[in-house]
Amino acid sequence: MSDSHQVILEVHDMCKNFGETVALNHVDLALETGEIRGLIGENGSGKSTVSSIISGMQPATSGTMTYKGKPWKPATVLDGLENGIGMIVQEAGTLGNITVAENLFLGDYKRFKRFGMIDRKAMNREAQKAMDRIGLQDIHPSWPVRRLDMQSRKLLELARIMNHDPEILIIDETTTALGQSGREILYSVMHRAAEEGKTVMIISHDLDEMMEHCDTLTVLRDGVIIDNLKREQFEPGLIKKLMVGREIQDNYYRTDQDGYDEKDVVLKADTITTMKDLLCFSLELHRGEILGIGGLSDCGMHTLGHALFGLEKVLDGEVKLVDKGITVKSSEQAFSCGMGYISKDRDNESLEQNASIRANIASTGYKVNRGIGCLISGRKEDNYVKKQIRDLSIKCRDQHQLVKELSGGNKQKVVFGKWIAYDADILIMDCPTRGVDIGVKSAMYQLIYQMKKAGKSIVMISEEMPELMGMSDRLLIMKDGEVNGEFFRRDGFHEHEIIECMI
Amino acid sequence: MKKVLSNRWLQMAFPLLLLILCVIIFSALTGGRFLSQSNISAIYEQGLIVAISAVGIAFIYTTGNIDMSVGSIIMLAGIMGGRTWETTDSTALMFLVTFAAGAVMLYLNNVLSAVLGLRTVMAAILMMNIYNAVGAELLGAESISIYRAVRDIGKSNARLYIALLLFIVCLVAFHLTRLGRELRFTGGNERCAATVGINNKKIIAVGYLFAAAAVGIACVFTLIRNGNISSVASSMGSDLMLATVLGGMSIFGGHKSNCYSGVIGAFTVVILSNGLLMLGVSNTLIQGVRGVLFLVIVYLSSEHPDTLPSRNQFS
Repeated sequence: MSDSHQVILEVHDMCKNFGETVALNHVDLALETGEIRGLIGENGSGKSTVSSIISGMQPATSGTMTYKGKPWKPATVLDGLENGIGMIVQEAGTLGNITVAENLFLGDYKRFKRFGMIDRKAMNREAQKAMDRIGLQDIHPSWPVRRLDMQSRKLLELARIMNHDPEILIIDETTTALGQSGREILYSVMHRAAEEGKTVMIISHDLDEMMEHCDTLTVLRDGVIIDNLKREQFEPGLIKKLMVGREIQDNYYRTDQDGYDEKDVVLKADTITTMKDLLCFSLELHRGEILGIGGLSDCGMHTLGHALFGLEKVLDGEVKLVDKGITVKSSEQAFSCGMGYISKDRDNESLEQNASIRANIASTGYKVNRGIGCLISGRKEDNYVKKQIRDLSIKCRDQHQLVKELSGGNKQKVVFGKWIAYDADILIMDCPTRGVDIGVKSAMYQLIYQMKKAGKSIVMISEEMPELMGMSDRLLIMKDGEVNGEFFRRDGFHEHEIIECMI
Repeated sequence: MKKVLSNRWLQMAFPLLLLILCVIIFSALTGGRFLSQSNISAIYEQGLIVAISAVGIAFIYTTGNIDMSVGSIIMLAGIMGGRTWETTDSTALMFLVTFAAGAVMLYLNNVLSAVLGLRTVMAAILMMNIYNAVGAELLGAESISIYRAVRDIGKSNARLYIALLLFIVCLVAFHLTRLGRELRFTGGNERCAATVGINNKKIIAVGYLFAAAAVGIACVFTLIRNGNISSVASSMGSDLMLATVLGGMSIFGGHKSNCYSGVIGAFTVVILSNGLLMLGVSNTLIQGVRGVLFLVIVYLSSEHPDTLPSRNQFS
């Protein structure tokens, strides 16, 4: 380890306001070389704001920064990157219609110019080297990025940043987009960088991950740094208490053994085959059941979610709503039959970001909020939306605030809100607690359990094993588009058996 | 500056302020000629046609689609109506054929877009060329005078009442029923719209139906206004885009869309062209001025990120 424990970047008295909202309130922070620093806190606590200011994504309202002993005020992200600060954001940062290599060297094509033309062979060669450097395999540099899944895209961003050999690497809630294999790649890159005397700053809601990989944890709450904890001080209960300002129970999953009626099938996938991932796949969902679907990220479970809701064309076999006797052929039909879908890709599939909270929640209630004839009653719509904002404690100025201005957890609450308001009988949830803090997670698990108690049927697709084991009545583990194992809550879930089925 | 531009009340008042400003400036520069009764009447006649089309076309723009073929449709529908009148001497039949031809041609753009899987803007450009070619083939350099048929109708208030009725129907459908909300959702995020049961293709087709009805009426009103038919297509396609942005709506659709912005914008466009012509500015230069104005307004109304980038910017 070289130059360890020298302060490389200092933040002094930093404030950031968005209108009347105070995102950062007089924050002081010092990052050292050779350390992995974790930033942890509830959604909207200011973690992403402080890291985005350091990287040059946005300016602070007030306060100063010092980087390598000199004043630091990056104008843009590119400015930050050229000076050795690289950041991977929680949102997608690749362009789908250009190749992997073009994404890797975006804005830096000049170096491959030969006689006015871009030498693609050389660019692809360099791209391959950049990917090899972080251990990213099975991706060809000439492929268009739209062919890649979310994990590969995210790792591509990591390769792009690491190609600049940054002094400070900032990772903002990236692990939620990664499966286990992707996480291993990321962790190895982080530790290698720290061993080389670089600084790593990671933001994540996964407490186990943070405790395992970080040297120091900085806890933020409401834009204020509450504490900096050294590794020897790490204790889950203490961290959670510092994060939310109150005691959080260790076990927020359901503890009951409530079953479901095994004869009352509500949704059936009968040997369905899709263009990608699924081949002759079957499942049955029962009334009042929480059916967990797990596996590695490329096992086909996300395609399954799409197929069940009619968003992925089923080439053979059928998805059937048993009691209604209807075959689901489109999302329009699924919706009208009382089904709901929460996508893993929240910002693109579950929310219209440029619309208000009201427009998003009300989108499931056009039918029930009618007044006279086909006219929509403003009062009914108002109540429909306000009830969800109140019940789910969505932090917002008012119902007219744009969704894109909300934090990740509050966005997810809006998604939950629209389906709770719709009172969906069958809800397909793909990674429902992705990117939300433990406080919100706890509330969502309670909601999911209440839905089950109310006789709703839930398909919960997740990459988080504790969540699947904690909430499911029955758990299907997928591998290569097929069911590779079935486990029941009543028998108890054993993690090693489940993981064996996955790999 | 950014704070001022994003002020909600200013955004709402801006189109009207711009309209009033244009009137004041042109009145001052023309020594009052701009406010003469004949000129006001000319502005009203043309403004009404642009406004009707803009109200309808908003149903297309809201879904994130653009159709620039309206000028060519008005021309060809007019020729078909004119030929009908020459053959039958029936004014009612002429109006019926003109309305139907205009509405069908606009709707055809949507059908073509759906069948061939083209973006609507591409289908519209393709059809626009075909409409122009057919128009030239049917009429060539000739013109048809229908003044005798429309002379008396032009003096009545029927057009105003029809325009008001259309406006009210569109306003109710767009803002008080699920249609407008679904159009906006489709324009904002088709994938998200699909998850709440919105059939994007169907909703775009319904939007086209409203636009087709409005354009059909605009075709008839154009006949009444001009009293003469030629095979030269008007600049209505670009007029509508300009009217929409001057009225304060984005031509890129989504949740900020409405169906009334184009009405104020329509009169601003007509006043601008009319005022500049009165000042002796050449028609070519007027097109240039309109182009620059369009770019400025689109730039000012576009969103420039000042916070964390959204996923939409990258995908």
